[in-house]
Amino acid sequence: MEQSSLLLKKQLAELRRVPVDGFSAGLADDNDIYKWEVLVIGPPDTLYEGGFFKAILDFPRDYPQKPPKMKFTSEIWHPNIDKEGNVCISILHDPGDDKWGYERPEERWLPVHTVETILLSVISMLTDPNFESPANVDAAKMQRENYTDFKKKVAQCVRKSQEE
Amino acid sequence: MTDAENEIELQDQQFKQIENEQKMFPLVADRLPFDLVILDYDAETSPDYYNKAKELANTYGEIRQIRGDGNCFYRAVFVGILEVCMKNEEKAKQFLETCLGWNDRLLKLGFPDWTTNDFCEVFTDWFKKVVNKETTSEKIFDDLNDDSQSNYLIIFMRLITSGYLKEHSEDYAPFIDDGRSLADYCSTEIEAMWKDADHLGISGLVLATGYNIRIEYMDRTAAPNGGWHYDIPADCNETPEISLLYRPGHYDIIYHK
Repeated sequence: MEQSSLLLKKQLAELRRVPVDGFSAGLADDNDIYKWEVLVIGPPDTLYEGGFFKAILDFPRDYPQKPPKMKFTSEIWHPNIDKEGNVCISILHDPGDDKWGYERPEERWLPVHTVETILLSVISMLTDPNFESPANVDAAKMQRENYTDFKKKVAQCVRKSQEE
Repeated sequence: MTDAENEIELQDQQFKQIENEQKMFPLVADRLPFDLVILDYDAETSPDYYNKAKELANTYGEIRQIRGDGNCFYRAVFVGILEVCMKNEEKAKQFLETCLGWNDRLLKLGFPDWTTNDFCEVFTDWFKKVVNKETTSEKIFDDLNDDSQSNYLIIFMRLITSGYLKEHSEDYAPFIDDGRSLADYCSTEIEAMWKDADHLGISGLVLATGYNIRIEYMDRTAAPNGGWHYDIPADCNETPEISLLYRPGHYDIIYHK
């Protein structure tokens, strides 16, 4: 069996045994250890509070040498999440990936990262967006120039996520 | 698409292409005659390299090429150590002890326990089979050429390199000249896969494993002692058991005649 699947199985068991505040994780399909479904709880005291946002973590076969991809399936309006739901944060980028040159390189993907460290970064991104590198330029612009509309749009997503 | 996006796209394609070209080489090739190195150079157009290769062929009989994927230094040293251990049970046991000891040393340095334990366990479980002769040379080299297995072992090599540098942070921090802390340096340059080893990485791995190495330099610079090689650490008394050939940007393993 591949090392990556063993490591993922162990992580899943560990997260079930000791859940971490702010998210829950399971398999999207019981037969595929490389595809996880996570539920991110909107962090308290942010616009996303009260939301339950579903996302898929897609692990490559060469995990943990390479990072997984994360994609929200719930609608979510945020400067660092593109309109298809793809999460664009530095921890999910390989160190060789120099097109994201604006980030501090030490925040890139490392094999010692876990699902927990990824999710904690995502939660911190929800609390504290990075305007320098928006994946959703419209959301970034709206947040800067028309905060009332931005809040409305996020509130809509929060409500929708509660109904899913 | 904007120009910037186009450029990123183009760059991506180039990276992918280089990666795919590299993947056509085995991670760890078989031992082949050193004369192959001479054949890489033309006596007329690159006499420097050609002559150095000829000179080295007097000392070295074989070469084992390693894939150039940014991990070549770590992989070359690791394979060198393995070959020593496969021939010498005492040394194999000793190296196993060193590696087992690293688990606690890494945790003490604050490496995340969960993943660190996993890399350490996978490594030591694998290496125990070598020590106890529960595996064959063929299986060992199959594993070394299996990307997922092999790179998992390389992650361990990178972790202990980083660990050694961090244990001696006062000695090494002054060599980092761009204002980064040693911890930042270790996470970007050492713990991250596919990053070439520079002199700190070289020193860290040698001292973390306890295996001295000799590096024969095939570039245009002259070595201090008239030869082309450096021993690491510089003050080691015996000729190191493991020799590497350095050609700009890349390391392979070479074997004395």
